[in-house]
Amino acid sequence: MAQNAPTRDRTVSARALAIAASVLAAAAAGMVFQIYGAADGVGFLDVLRSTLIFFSTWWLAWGAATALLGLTSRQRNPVARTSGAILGRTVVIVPVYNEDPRITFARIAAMDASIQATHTSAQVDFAVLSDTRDDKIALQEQHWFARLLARQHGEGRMFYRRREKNTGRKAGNIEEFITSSGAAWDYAVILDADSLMEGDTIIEMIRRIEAAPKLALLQTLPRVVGATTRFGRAMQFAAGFHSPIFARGLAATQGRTGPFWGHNAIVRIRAWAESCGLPELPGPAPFGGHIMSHDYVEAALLARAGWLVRLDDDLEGSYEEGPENIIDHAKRDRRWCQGNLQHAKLVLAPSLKPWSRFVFVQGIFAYVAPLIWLAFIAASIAAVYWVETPDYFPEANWPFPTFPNDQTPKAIGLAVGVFGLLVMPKLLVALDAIFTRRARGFGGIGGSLRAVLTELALSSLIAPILMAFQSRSVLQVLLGRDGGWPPNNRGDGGLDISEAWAAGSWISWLGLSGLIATHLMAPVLTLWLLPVGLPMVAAPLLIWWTSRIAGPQAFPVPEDTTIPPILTRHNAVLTAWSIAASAPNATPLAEAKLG
Amino acid sequence: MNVTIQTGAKPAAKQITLADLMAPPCAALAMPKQVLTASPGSLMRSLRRLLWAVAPGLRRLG
Repeated sequence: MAQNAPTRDRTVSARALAIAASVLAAAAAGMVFQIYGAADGVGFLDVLRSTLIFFSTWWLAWGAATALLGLTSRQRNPVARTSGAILGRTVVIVPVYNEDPRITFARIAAMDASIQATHTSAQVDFAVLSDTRDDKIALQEQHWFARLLARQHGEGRMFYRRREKNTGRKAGNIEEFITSSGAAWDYAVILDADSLMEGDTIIEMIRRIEAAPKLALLQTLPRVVGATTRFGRAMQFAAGFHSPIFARGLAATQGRTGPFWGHNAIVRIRAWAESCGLPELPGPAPFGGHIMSHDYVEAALLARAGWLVRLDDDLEGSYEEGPENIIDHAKRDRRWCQGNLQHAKLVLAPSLKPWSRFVFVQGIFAYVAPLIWLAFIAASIAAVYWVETPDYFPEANWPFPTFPNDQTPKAIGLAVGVFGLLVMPKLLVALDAIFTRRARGFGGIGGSLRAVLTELALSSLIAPILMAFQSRSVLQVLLGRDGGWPPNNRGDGGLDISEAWAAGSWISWLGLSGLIATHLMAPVLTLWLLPVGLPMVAAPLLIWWTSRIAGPQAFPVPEDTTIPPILTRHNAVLTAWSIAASAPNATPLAEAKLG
Repeated sequence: MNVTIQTGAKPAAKQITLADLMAPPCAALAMPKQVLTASPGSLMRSLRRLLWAVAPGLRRLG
């Protein structure tokens, strides 16, 4: 069977198109701003602002170009499903770190049952790799593992081990498993603790990697499920509605080099072992030490070794959960920020594919971009503050005033253009969804359009807050503060107002100070800054409000009406275990018998 | 790891410890550490390769 790899020509064309379009848009924006700023003479601040606008616009245009590529690039011919015997042995790896073991192990039970329901003869084992630091949770993990074994008759094909030290975090956890037990299997499905995959999806992934000997990693596009809050539902909708298109565009540019997002993917263990041993980076954290965002690096290393890394976005039945509130999102983003900035040390790693380097640069830019916008705002305030009063009578003894060339329309045009780059991709995805009838699953034409517009409004409101959190993260990393490895909060996500105030009051003060300073120094800019400043002032309120439970009609997704079978299985296991756990005199042994 | 259980797969009479059940098999696999630090001279090589990678597409666009 063919590798079904993206062809080199198509990949090169996609890359060139995206680069050319984004650079042209950025250059146009920079030039327009330069003309606007130079109306009263060219100064240092004008050049600085034009440069900042160039880079900010490039980043926005890059996102828009990715979406356009996703909309216009045909989906690769779906790989024909095969039905022959599977020869390779597979292990499903579930790394855990202070997670709720009952929920995590119920997921494993559901996936195992789903695999068994496919009636294939494939050997698919499970390994829970615990890095849990809390001894009480670790004890519960053993308890629930016993329940899992008993329920699924998993002896000899379900394994659990806990490391004494969590060296290298998740990447080190997997590496330790591969080096001590990896030779027992041919393929590994790497999951997160909150991952869920249908059995037939896992079997199909095994078939595809087995059929393509050069394929080292096959990534699925996980859909976010289980969100209940306003923020969580909005993110879930965006992930389900917009992300497939963006991901297809991303895959078009990455070609044979990725992407890999760290979970819901299958890897060829031999290739992984040969290529993905991650060293510690020289120097102290946050830039040195263990590699935090290891997934991008692993994809780059596999590509460096000549292996194919592929995203198959046609594979459905792959799920994950997302953060339910802005604080959890910001905590995760802090980790990702440090991980991506750490890639600055890897951009020049020897023999990497050029595009892998560019992927690192993109990751870094994603976190630097908010600082560029902030710098632009600050420079604009300074430019107004220091602007010289125009000389209306430059010529002596000439009775009529000379007015400076009014370039305001250019500034407005530029603002509209930048806003368009932000909004246009999502609106085009909405149109595409309507024409391809994908919108049906998202509330139909009316429902999906309403959700798109609401999501746009909500994301515009919270963008300044996320920008503040991101900027703080970048500054912390640059100042050498290690964010550590806080466990994910997978609770219901609801926050009370005091928690929201504790997390977001600094943003309020920052926004208020910024608005007051602008009003004093450059009153003409106050109105322009209100869309950024007001949400910042209201940050605690917005953090609290978005963490509330969403209405039943808010941000519809297909999974609301057609519950995926794997979710039904998971809920059934959880219900059975909850009933058993609440029984009088419940003990691990008795509960294990109940299964 | 002192929890003792009985599983459905085992006869009721035989008791095994959870520790016996849960350890993954010993099947070692070498995982050499990769070289990720660049030599100073590799910057130009990297830039050149990046240029060569992008140039055909740009030419095509032109």
